[in-house]
Amino acid sequence: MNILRKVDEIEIFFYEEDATNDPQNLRSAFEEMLEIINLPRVRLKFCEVTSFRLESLALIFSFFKTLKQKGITSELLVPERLEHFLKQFHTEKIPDLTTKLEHTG
Amino acid sequence: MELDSLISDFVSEALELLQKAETRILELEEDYNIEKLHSIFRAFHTIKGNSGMFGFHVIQELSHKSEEILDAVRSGHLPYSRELADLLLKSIDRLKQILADIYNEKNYLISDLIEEIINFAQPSHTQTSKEVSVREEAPNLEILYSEQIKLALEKKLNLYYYLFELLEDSNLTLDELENKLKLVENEVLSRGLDYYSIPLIYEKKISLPYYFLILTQENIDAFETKLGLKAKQKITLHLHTQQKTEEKTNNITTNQTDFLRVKIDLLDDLINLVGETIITRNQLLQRAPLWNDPEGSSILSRMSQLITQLHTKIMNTRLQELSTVYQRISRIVRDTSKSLGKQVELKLEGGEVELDKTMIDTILDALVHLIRNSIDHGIETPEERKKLGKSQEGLISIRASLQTGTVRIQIEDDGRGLDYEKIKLSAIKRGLLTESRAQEISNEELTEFIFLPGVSTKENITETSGRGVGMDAVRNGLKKIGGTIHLTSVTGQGLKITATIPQTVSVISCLLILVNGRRFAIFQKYIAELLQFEEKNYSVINGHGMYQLRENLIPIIHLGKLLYGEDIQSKQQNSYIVIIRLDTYYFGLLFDEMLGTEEIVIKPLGEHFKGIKLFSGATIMGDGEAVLILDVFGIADYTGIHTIEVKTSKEIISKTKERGKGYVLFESSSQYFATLSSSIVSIERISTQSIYHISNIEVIEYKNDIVPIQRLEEIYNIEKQPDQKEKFVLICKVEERYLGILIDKVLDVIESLQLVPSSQHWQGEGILGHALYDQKPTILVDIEAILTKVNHNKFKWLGKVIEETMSLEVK
Amino acid sequence: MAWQSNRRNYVIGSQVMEDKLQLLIWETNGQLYAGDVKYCLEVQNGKKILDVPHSKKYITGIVNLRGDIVTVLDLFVLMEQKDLPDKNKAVIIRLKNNDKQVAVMADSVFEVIELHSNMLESAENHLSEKEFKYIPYIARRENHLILIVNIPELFVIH
Repeated sequence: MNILRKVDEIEIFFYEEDATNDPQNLRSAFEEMLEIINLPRVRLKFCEVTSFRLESLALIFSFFKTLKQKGITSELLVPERLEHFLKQFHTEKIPDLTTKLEHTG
Repeated sequence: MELDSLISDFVSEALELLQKAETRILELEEDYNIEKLHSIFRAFHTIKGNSGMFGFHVIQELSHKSEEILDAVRSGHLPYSRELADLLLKSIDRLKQILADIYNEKNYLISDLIEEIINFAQPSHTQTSKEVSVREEAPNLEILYSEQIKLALEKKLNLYYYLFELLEDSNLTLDELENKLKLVENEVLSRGLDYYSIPLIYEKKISLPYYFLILTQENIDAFETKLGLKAKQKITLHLHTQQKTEEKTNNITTNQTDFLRVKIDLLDDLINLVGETIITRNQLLQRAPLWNDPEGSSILSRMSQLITQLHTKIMNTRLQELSTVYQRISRIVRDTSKSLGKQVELKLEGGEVELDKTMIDTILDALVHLIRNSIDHGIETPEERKKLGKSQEGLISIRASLQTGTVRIQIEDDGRGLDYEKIKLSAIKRGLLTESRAQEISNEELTEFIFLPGVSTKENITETSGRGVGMDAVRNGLKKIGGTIHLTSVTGQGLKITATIPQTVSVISCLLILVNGRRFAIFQKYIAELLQFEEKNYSVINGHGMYQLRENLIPIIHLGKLLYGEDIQSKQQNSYIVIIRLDTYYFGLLFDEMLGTEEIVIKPLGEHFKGIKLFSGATIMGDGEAVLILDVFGIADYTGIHTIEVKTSKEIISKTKERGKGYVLFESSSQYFATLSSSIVSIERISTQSIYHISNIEVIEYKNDIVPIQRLEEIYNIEKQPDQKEKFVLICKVEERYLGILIDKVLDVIESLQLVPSSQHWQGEGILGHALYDQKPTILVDIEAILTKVNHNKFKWLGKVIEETMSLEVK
Repeated sequence: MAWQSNRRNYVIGSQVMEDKLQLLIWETNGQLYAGDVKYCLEVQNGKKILDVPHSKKYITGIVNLRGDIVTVLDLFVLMEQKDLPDKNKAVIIRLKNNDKQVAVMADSVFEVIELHSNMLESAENHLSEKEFKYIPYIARRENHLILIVNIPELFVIH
């Protein structure tokens, strides 16, 4: 993952390797990030992610929930082709989480 | 006094309500159910009301506050959480404490608890700890889905909230999930990620909880099976009333109408009366033959039957279900595992098995101790378990079953099991085991040491488990009610404890004996044999009286001396010995006269006799006199008899090494043989597993040598009996090599043998003659001659094979 | 309230020193003894007491009383007196306190008498310390000296 710090939000670039490697690594990474995030908004963006482990997705949701506890809103940006997948999780019901679909050409 | 009995009723009713509430609270943690919440509320509410009437204001206030907090949960202002459950349990414990000491009720302080409850109920109660359980924030489902509940009510269907873990089944893909859902599409009102159950990053748990909201006619368990997904949580939001009565309730019987509250005193009186009726009946039965009245006798016979039936039924009134014990156990497991940082799953089976009320208390104490031990010593910490490849949650299962009047309870855990090496060391250190014996002792025999007071393999004594005095207390407690306990364990895999207890305390068969003019009773159950004392078999070894019984030397206790300080020399003629068998060891009791067997009713001795181990109670004979019942376990403990090593064949083997002359008597397939001691180099004890086969020859390893062995059955055409696990080999040296005769067991070593004229039957190679040993025909053989011949035939080529093989190995 | 009973307090009757006491009188070794009737269950004759090996000295043994095994105590051993009663000829007095029971021996048992509590004198100066523990009061009646036994004390286990 890579972090881009903007004026009032933090953008996290989420790559395929983050989505498929050992979930424990991902969790530690998220834990570290939580220490340094101090802006009111976080946007996590899937970058060229073609497959991912369910555990990684679980961790992303955990991450967002923990952020919410700190009062930080989150946004999840995924490519269109993952749309139907996310729909199964009814992410629209998760409070303070926006899920946007990116239209890839 | 009137008031006293009213108060007493209030206390017992309140305790019952609290017990039920406790069970419900524990159940709610597994399976959240609105009905159960209501019943807990009602329990506190009732206690609040009743206590007020008696002026028990302390109880009233604590119940009131507890009731309030439950009301907050009911109305959705407060979520039901583990912390809340803990608080309620604390409240219940305190109330139980106060109720047990009701006349001092005013002196009990509850301000600490009240404060805790008030703080908990504050709306501004925020969770600052990182370790927060997610369900704290969960909205009240009843409120969230109130619309759907109304719908369920209208349509007369059940509404369930079904939560399961997506990550649980690694084979389940989302597509498969979709397919499964298609099957039940019509019944699923909504579904999705259960946001509230998602763990925080700090919780170090990876979970993807998914829920369905289901509206269905069926029972949720049936639904679960249909879906094929294991639920993490099943919450009943609305149950159509018809099904309420059909749904299986747990072991606690709540149906009040089939039961009647009876004072225990009344039952005890009934039992005493029946006991006396039995004694009086026995007296009549003794006299009946003297009347010479056949009709009268048959009437008496009929009455006797009726009395026996009456007795059985009355004894059964005191039967109580084990589930009452199980309730307590659930709570203890929860509390203990929590305080020790272990995760434990408890499986309980057989709660419907019934036991006499007096036994329930003993069982409870025993189980509590065993479970605590298991959680403390047995089950490893979650980290350790993970390292060992076990599931992080340990499992303890308790299974009860009833077989012909005996209740069997098995407690099994999947923890560390017994560390046999540590037990050995501990026993050696305490002088209970010699180094040499330690090398041969089997694991099964080692478990015996666990039951000796003071033997502990735990380095740190924790507050939870005590100082290794527990197991002997457990066993003694069980013995007192006629029960037994056994342990088996595989190190690293767990421990299995089996306890057996008779279902009722009733009439027990006993042997009556006379010691110093007084009668005593011994439970028939522990008697292995009865013999008439013979001076020649008696000797004193190391200050202990020992008696030779076949191939064993058994320690003997002189009852006259033990009980009355009688001089041992006197009265040894015309005495008798009863051989007692306890678990794995035997000992004998020397007494004056045998009076016969009797069926007796056991009566407890009073508190004044608490410290005396030698008696387990008293009974009343037909003539109205009291007789003491000897406690064989207590006698064994008191005299320290289990520390005396019972001599076995091993000692006899060493006897041959010393003597060099005389004869060794042994047995093969039930045939007795004898041979000159001088032909034997040594006698080895082996397990049948250590017999190898080279072609059709049996061999064993002896002193780094391969020694061929011969069975006498083959030579003399004796029908071979199936091999026991353990056998012996008589090792001889023949023409510079070792050879052996394989036998079943060594019987004795004697100085001389009286030969008897032989019949035609047994003639053959190596037979020197016939004798009688223990009144059985014994064949005197010359094993050197036998082996020499075999060596020239069968074994000769073997020597070559062995040499060749060994030279191959060296390469 | 009346239900609050304190067994250490050797008040013999439930009403403290105000009313009449009903006492069972018995005799052992020529001396008269008395005990509050409310602790006395029954009196039995001709029962054989079985001695229990290894039991404390003050326990004479056990006896069958209507199907129950009751412990028989020797009051004299408790009081460390020398003259012990003959256990084979004794009459047994069965005593109860709440749900516990014991028995004591007597040579003969007489009757129940009524005594006003102001007729009791403290026995402190007349008896040894050990005796006083069990016999707190004495009374006189028709020239006879009666030793009043503190029955609850017999139920205390040492």
